[in-house]
Amino acid sequence: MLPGFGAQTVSPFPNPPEYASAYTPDRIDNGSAPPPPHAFTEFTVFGEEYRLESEVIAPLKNHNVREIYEDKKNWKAEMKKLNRSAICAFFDLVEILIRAPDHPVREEKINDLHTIFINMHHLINEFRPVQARDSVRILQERQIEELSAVCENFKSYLQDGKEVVDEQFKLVTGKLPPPPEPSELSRVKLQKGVLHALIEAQKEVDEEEGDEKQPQPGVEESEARKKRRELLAQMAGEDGPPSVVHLLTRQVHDLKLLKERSKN
Amino acid sequence: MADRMTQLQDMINQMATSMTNAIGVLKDTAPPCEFGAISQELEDEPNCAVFAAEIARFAKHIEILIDSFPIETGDVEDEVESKMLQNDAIHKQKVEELTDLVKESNQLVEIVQKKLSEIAQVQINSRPSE
Repeated sequence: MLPGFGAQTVSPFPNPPEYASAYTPDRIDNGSAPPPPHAFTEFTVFGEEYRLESEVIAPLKNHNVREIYEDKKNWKAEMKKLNRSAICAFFDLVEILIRAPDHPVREEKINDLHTIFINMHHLINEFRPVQARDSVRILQERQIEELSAVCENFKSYLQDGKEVVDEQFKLVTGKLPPPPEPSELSRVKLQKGVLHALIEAQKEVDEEEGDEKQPQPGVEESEARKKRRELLAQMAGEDGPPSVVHLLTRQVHDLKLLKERSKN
Repeated sequence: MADRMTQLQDMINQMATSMTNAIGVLKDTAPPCEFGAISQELEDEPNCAVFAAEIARFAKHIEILIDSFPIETGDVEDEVESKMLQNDAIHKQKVEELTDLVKESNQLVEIVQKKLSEIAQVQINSRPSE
């Protein structure tokens, strides 16, 4: 309802209880708000009375009915006794009605039968909470079973997933297989280790420039160098289609140029 | 198909009903009778046997049903209570286990998603630029 309308609004709901005024936000922040009131143990919900202090099943005395059964612990035996007593009482009642239909004893017999049946129902009611507790226990056990099954399945799935992921990572970080050989048709000459040889040649050139100030290396090394240069000359020959060596030499020259340019 | 307790209650009620019905019907449908002598008609009354058989049948059923209950004599309350507390603890433990597993699986999913996005990025970058 908009304020400023002026009309008195009647709320369909009851007002909050009186003690709610003690719980202002400031007082709560202060810590000086009173502790919550105790919960009720006797209340009415939807017209039905609840008394939490008393026993779950009210004893028969509350209903002014005589208790016949003796031992609450022996449920089955007591129930069977009551069953037989009911039949006996009925038998007696019929006998009385046959012999003296207006004898006052028949009223007693009817009341006896009445009491017996009430006792039987009372015993059954007493058993209900026990049944309920047992049901809760069984429900718990079933839930635990379900949870265990779910956990097991989950674990196995998780394991499978982890294995797959690990395999994939091994693939990525592992070594690739070597590339296939070029076919005859492409007339590409596979010159193994060409780039490596070129890099070595480049290194030699640098070394030679530095070597001029140092003593000459051993004979074996100079022979190895000569072999490498011959190999290079062979590979860099102009016959046939442009070989990989040409492309690679071009790349190395380009890299050198770039380096010099960046230095300048 | 109600549970056994409810069946028992219904059966007890039925037995009581048939008892009262028997007396009432026999009284109302009784043929006239002389003093001292039992007439042939009275003897041939079929309802007596029917009602008697019915009441006896109910009594027998009730007894069988009572016997079929899995009730233990003596104080079982404490046992059941301790069992329930035990089950509660086990339940909590299982729930913890499940939450841990879920956390692990979430981590795994994160890793996979990261890798997938990396792959996608590399694929985008490796496309020929214009």
